[in-house]
Amino acid sequence: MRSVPVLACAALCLAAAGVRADDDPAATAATRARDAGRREAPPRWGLLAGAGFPEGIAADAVFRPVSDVRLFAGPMWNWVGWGVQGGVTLVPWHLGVSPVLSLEGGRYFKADARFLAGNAGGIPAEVKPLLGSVSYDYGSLRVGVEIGSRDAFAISVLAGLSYVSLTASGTSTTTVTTSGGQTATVTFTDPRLRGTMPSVKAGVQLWF
Amino acid sequence: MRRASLLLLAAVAALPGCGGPLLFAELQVPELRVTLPEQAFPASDTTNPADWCALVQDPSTPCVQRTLDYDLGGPVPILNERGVTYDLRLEDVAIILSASQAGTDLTGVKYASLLVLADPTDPSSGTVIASYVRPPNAAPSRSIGVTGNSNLDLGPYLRTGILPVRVEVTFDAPTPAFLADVAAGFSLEVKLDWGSLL
Repeated sequence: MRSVPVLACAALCLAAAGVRADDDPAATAATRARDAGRREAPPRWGLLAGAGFPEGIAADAVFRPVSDVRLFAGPMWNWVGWGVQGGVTLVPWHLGVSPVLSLEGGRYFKADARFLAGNAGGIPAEVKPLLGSVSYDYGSLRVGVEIGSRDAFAISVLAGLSYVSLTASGTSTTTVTTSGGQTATVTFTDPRLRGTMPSVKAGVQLWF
Repeated sequence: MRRASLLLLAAVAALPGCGGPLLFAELQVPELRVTLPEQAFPASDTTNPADWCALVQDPSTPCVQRTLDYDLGGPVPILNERGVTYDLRLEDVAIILSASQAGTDLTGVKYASLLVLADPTDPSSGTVIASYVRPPNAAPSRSIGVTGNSNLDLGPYLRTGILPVRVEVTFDAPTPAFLADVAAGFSLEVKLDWGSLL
């Protein structure tokens, strides 16, 4: 018999809720309008955290001027130094799994990478003087997929091609024994390396 | 927007047709200096025909020669790899008397020239890439410095990373045999076509 008041209370609560919903058409309309608005205009601002090659780790602010286009920019870090990067992402259509095309570029500012020389980083110790001031620029074109919601949370995986231009300022002098058995002193000054290479990126995106 | 996407995809697809290789790496070294220390040059009055620049020696202006190998493949091993092309230019050359040659100078050197050899076994296959003419009233000097002919790509002359060079020195005053460091400054661009390796 003790359960009777509990059941009655639950029934009253349900009835009251039903009455509120039925009796407040303005609230229902607002909800519908909000849902419709979301379908038409997804959130414009978001955050993107990603890691990849050649950019390292990056955190970006994302702006969506129109539904299919995102602009992003932010700082990046690669264990040696800091840089900035930005780009544009195209999502031609939205599904649970959406295709993504991304074009981005960035610059790492001059940093001291001498700690990579020798046993620690696997770079020959002779090159150490060239690593005192290293910087690089890159541009990447990638395609991939985005899994998740366009309005709240999504993860993405992309792969493509990057162009990298690396400059090392300094002079390295080494003594080598040539194939003829004679000794030669060789000096490199300000070498620059550029080229294209495969690149990948994985990211997590939040909209608000 | 759909149209823009298709245009962008078409542009991406057209990238490989732009001319150069899609996958490449390029190393640029604006200054690559190789010094061969203590190279022995014969005396101006040497009687060994192997040291002469020509079969017949003019006693008033004797000319002696040395063949040097600049092994660039040692410090830049990628030169010997498959799929690599390179552009090598000589920027300058210096002949500097070694520190052990105290009391000697190069005042007796009237001309000096550096030739790159198309055929290392054929001295006549040389092309002059740097030359020196002693200026009038030159003060005694322990070194000779000249600017190289940077218009000539020395890449075709490299053999397994080695650039064979012939140094010819013409004297107008008696000069004993000497040891000199021969320092050459190059600029180098090496390009590797990744795609050809796949």
